[in-house]
Amino acid sequence: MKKMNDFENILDECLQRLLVGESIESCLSRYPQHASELEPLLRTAQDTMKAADIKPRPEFRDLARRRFQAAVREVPRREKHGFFVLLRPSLATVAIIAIVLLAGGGVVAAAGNSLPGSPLYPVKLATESVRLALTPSDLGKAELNAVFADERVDEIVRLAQNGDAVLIEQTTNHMNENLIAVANLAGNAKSASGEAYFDTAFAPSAMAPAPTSTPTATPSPTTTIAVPSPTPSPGQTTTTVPTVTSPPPDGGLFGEASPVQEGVADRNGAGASEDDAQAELRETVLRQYYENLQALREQLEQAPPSLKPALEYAIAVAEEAYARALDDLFY
Amino acid sequence: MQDEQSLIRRAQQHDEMALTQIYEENFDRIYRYIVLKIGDRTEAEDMTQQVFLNVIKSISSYKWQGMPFSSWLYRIAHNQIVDFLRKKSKRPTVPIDETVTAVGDDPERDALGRIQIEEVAIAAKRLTSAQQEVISLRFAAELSVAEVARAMGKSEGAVKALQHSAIVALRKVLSPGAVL
Repeated sequence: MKKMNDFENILDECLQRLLVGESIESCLSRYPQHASELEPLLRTAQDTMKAADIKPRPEFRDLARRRFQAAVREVPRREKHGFFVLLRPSLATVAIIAIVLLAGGGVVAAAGNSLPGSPLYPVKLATESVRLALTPSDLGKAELNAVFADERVDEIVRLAQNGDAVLIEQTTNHMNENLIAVANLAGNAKSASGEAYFDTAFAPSAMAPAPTSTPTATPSPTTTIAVPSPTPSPGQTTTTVPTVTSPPPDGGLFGEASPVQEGVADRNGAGASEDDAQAELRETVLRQYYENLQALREQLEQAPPSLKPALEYAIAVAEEAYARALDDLFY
Repeated sequence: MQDEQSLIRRAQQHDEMALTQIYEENFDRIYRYIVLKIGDRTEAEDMTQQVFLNVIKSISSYKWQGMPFSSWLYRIAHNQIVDFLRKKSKRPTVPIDETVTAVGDDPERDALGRIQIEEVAIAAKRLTSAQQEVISLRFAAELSVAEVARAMGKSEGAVKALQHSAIVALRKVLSPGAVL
């Protein structure tokens, strides 16, 4: 085992030298006793490095840079769209309190049932912003965003019943933002508790398994199941979402406990409640995934032709956004 | 590290120069990482662009946790790739394997004696997902073993072992006469 580790260290040192421009021959001369074993591996690695040393097309690079800079400049303007978004959290809180004092708590309560396009809807969104601002933890914010995404789907269903395609699309985009926030905040919460940024369960080979027979390592089993859509229709595909149990056996390739596993073991004591909260959030989002897609598909079936494109868009976005959030929650 | 933290703080305040610096320093590496993972330069262009647009949207939620900032960028790229592959698996398309000449069948490539990125991408599909990630992060993104280890949540020893086994596997697949 030690011999193998020594060789892996030597190989890595040589690879690092190749990456900074040293020749294979120079590396081999440092380790003549390993030269015959090193040389073919270094040649393959060098070929791979050269192949990977590609540059984006200049015209694409220019276009991408212009788009990026335009997007950067657009950010402050976007924030000006909403009065409450512009306010710092503390000011927004004051503004909401002022509304409650001036107009009575009934306004906020009534706003809770309002739909996009109604005069009270901005109060509803502002109330959500305040709740987020007053929630300190990423996990708490992720939970709230999941609740808000659920609310957006409810609004889409009610807008479909009112026959408003434009507002359905706007609300769909809003739902997508809530679910992106769930994914990002869940990722933050997991990395804060020591989990890795990457997981390989959804990497290309897991998504579309290639022919097997990798020579030196056993592919790590993945823990995904194909979950049928709530109301499968002819020709409809299934979406792969993670199971609740059996985290991927990270580190199983080499029989060593990974930092992820060690971190989980460490958290079994004091951090157990956070694990419980994360598990609860996973189950909530998974349940919403089923129920909300079911509800949207039911609306699609009943909708007049003029509403169908907006509802199909809502379903496609919900599928992708929930799947993305579930990726980040499970892995 | 201090400089990076300060750069990120400015970027979180939507400082245009800070965001542009992040973009310029990472654009090519993210592009190479994506190409190597999916083997399609055109798609990779779109996805690279999208990664940086997502950075603008999400950077305010980024929290410094001692990891290199690039780990966060590669995570965004990784998620983008996952989305792409999921969509791709839902729609009938020409598989990458059929769009690229197999090793040994391309006279120009043989004459130049060079392996193309698409061939490596196809060959990489024979690797385990962890081996692919190590190869992409080491050879396309040019992260150090220590950075790859932190990004993947593995020990440096495990990354070195994965790197070794991945190169052995690539060698078998890319050697002349191998059928992709």
